[in-house]
Amino acid sequence: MRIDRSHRSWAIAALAVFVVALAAYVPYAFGSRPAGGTAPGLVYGVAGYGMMVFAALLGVRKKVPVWRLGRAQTWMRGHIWFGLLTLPMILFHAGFTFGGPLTSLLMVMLFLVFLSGLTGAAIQHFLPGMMKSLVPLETIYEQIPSVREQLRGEADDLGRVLFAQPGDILAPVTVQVLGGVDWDLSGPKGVTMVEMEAEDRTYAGNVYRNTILPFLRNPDDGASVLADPDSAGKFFEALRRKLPAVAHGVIVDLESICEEERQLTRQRRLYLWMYGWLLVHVPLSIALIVLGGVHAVVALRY
Amino acid sequence: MPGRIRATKTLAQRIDREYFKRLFPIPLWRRVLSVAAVCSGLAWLGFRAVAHDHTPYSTGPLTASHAIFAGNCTACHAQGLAIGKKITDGACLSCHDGPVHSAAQTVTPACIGCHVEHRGAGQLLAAESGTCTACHSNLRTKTGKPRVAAGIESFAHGHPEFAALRDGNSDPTAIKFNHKTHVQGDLKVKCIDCHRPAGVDAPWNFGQAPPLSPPVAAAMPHGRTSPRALMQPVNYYEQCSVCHQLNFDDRISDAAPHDKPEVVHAFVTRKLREYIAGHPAELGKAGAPASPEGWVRFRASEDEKQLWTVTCNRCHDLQLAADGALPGVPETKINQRWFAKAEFDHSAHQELQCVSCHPNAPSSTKASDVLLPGIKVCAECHVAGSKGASADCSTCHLYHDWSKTRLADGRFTIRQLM
Repeated sequence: MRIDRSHRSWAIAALAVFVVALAAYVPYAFGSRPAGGTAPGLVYGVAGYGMMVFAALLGVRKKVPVWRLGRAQTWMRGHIWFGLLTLPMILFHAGFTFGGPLTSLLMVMLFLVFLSGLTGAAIQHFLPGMMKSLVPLETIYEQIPSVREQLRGEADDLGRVLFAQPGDILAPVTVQVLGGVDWDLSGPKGVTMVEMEAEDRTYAGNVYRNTILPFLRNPDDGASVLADPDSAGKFFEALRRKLPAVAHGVIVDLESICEEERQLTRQRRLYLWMYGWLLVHVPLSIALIVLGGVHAVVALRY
Repeated sequence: MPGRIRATKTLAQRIDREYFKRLFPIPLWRRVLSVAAVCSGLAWLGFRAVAHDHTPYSTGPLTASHAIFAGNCTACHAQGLAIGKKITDGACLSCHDGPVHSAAQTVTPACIGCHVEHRGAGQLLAAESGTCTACHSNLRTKTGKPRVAAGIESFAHGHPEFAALRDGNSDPTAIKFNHKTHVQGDLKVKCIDCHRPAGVDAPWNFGQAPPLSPPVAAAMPHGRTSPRALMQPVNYYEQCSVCHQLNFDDRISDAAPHDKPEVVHAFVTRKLREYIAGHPAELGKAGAPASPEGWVRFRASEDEKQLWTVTCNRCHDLQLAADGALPGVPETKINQRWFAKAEFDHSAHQELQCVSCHPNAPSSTKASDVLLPGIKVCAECHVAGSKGASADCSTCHLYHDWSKTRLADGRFTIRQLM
């Protein structure tokens, strides 16, 4: 989520709460030794824990998107700004000390949740825009394996158009993916291939099997000549020079498929950055709330 | 010419409509790690609970003296309250006594109001100044009129000047002493030649071992003593005797004892009697009586006149009797304790030059001069909130009146503690 002008009211509210909390803390801290068990300490603790729970409710809200509980964006803004307040509130609660084993663990977890949240907010602010420019062929992340499978099938068909011998049977799907090229469909079995010299056809087959196919099977392999856009461009340019003009349309399509593969690889990497921090943020947040609840019960009892 | 077209229809046809039914790596691991994190935390607490170890819930390390209770929370946290198990004064008082601060106080704070546990070693006795100024910043007493300053907000704000330096007070001592004569000029006696904290056992440069036990240091306020808190009281034998010998007659090498006039008189008479017994030729010479007893009385009168009017008079204003009776010696009133309501430890300040706190001492000519440093001198280092010396009330003051302490009757067996 971009942090823009729409966050202003939330930011002002959070700042106001922080200023009030700080203004109350200063005389409290100078007048006595702050501790979680004092009346002001308990107020800060309850406020901090309440903000944690509120921030966590964002996850619950996402589980029930059809419930009329306010817009998800509103919940996200509250999550960000009240989540930011949890750290100062808990530090005021604890008097800037870590206490015993459980409270020390909770404080470390709080810092990690806070830092991972800040990191996530920054990533979510900048990366979506970068994604748009770096990955114009972006697809749904979860569809990447499926799309890749289809891209490989598409490339196989195109490749066979290049190097299949007269009489080879091509899959019917070929007809669907060859749009825009004036293919001769009058051959045996209703399909045919680009007419090239046998030598060129063999060369094209070798290039496809040795370079293009391995890259399409493992597009994350950075060692492939096709992993880099510049070297891939030179590679396909050389291929076009080698093969007759009738094959250039297929080569352009293969080049396009490779480019899409590279973008999907880039999308996966960016996706890991965009959502990888959640592997720290979410588990620690949940554990923090559960163990924080234990701490609250035990501390109030003792 | 490129043949691939990314039309909406072709793109839509690529979508796997069942994809949302499967968990992909990041959501999957998010769930796995969430469960693992919660379970790990609860398992840790669970294992500790099974082992009857409650230390995870401790809010911090105990002081060294309470460390034995680290795994036994209920030793203090079990007072049979209906809700919760907070510490009550009874838990503390079952092992410790906490004598009242003042009979006139209107509020008595709970033990844990001042002594906050779980703050690590050495923190329990050092109560926060705020616990003192909560009352002393606007002091109310049962009698209605506080006997101490009523508006002390901190050491820097509201704390009065030390009592000895107020209202032109003077040193009450009846001894005549000139610091300037001793520390300046040819003598150049150092401060530590005469003044040392109690408990320091080293030879005196201008003294000798006293024939009697040294005086006991005055009791600390509230009855609790600190062996090094006070300077050793000045006495003749340790500080003065090497230079100020109490010789009384050229014929006798022994000096008179530093004692009451009766003792001195008996000593002088005995020494003269011993002398004349060994030197009978001196009887009747130069107008002296011819009989031994007469000679002794004559010489004793002359020697004691010298003692009472010159030798002893250097330091003491003797009350001479006109009829020849022995003189009276006024009480010396050497003040051993200048802070009636506070503690001061000279040994904790030994890195300082004496004159940095007592600048008037080298130029003092009268024993009535109060050479105690004022509060401003202390406040140069003892600044609240600084990294310097502490300015907390408990640095100098005790809360409990330990003269009213009672013996505690322990309630634990060894097995209960271990």
